[in-house]
Amino acid sequence: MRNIVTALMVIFGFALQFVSYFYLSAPLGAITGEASSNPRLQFAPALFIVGVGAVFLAAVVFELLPDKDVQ
Amino acid sequence: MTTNIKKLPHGVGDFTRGWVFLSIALVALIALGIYAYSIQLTEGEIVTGLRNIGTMGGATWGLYISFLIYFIGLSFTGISIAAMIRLMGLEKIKPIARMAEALTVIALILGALVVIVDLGQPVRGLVNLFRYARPGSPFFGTFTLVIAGYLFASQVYLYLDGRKDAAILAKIPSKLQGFFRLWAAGYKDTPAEQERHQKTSFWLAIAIVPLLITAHSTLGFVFGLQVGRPGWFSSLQAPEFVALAGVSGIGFLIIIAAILRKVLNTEDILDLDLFQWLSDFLMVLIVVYLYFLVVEWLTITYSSQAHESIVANAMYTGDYAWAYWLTVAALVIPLLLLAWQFVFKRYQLSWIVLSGFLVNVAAIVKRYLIVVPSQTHGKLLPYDIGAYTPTWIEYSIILGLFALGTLLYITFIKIFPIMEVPEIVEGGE
Repeated sequence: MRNIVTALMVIFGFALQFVSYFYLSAPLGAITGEASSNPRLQFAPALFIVGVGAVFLAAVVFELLPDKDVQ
Repeated sequence: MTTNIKKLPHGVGDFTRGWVFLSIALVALIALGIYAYSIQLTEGEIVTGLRNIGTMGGATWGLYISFLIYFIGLSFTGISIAAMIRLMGLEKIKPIARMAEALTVIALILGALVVIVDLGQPVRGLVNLFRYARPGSPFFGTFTLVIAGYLFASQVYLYLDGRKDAAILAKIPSKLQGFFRLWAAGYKDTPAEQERHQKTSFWLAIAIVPLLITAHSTLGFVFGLQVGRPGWFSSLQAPEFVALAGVSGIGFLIIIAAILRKVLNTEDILDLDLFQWLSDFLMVLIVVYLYFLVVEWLTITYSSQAHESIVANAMYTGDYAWAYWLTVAALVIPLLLLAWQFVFKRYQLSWIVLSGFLVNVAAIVKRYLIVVPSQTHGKLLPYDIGAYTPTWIEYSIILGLFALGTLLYITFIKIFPIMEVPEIVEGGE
């Protein structure tokens, strides 16, 4: 259970970083107009930060989740 | 995990008279900083020495941004020390691990605050960065990786690393018992928990080191990628930032460790061997940074363009020469001191601390040199040479931030052991 939750959080975090960086933020490359200047989804940088946070929070979950016998 | 300690160790919970007086003085300085900032917020940045580049003959980035780089540089130590202990098995420096981690967290908080102070419209700036920041921009990296990711990761590391000590201290009756219990979150130091913590620390160290390098490099890119600003556009900026961050961070850590050694009477834990290691490490980092300085000097003086030469001349022989040569002196003197000790194996704490202090002077002045001369003297358009002089508002805010950082640090020391609590078996003291 512990490993699954941790792995899911890490995968979710990295996936969110990838998607928000490459697909939701403003396109990479030269600015040619409004479409290439604005993010495709507003607050995409905030989502990227959530992704970074999720990866590191996985460490806390991994350590803090109680053992089965304790439960 | 057994313990029969009756008193909280390392001065935790012991709010001495000296601590109270120091805190009051720091609060007064913080109040001065808040007062100065309130003036800046209501009257605008006209009360600072900051002016538009070119048209107003000034610099839009000044003391605040210089200290942003300085504070972020200080944060270098915590995670790098923690990672070295974990990945390279450097048990010798373990006693300073938590000091360094706390320094990292507090320095990053100060870094975040000084960015906010620099913004004329802080709320608008903060919202819009989260809303519109472009991933290609170094500001995106600075905000996401440095302020958010690096700070969060450091807090996670500090928290998890302190759980065992919190569990030990939670058994001792004190006013802070509930706090320690909360921090320990059920930790019992079972073999399974120990193994899990080893695993987590290892992977966190692996994950944070690249983040640390990226974070400091990104800050270098903020300057290094600006094609139109003579003096800034250089591929050396990023590695130079990393190297100078190491120099100032380790130097500052030496000062903190020496103060705590004296105040907490921990000469046996923070022994000369530890300072010897820090001294040698600092010496190597200074050599690396001086190499960058020489390469930079050779490149600029050999074949730089006219606009670059104006900035270079201002630094080497002109308006900023005093600052440049002060930086060089504040790096070379510690290097000589540390190298002498290294060669003759005669280490003296006072010389090591002096070196730590001098490299921090060098780091602050060099950051000022990175930020300011390129704006006042580095122009591609035909504007006159500009000038920048910080006002009392800027000095007060920076002083207030330093006071805030110190207050946070000394408060942390009083509520949580700044060094690992030793394993104490039943019947011990």
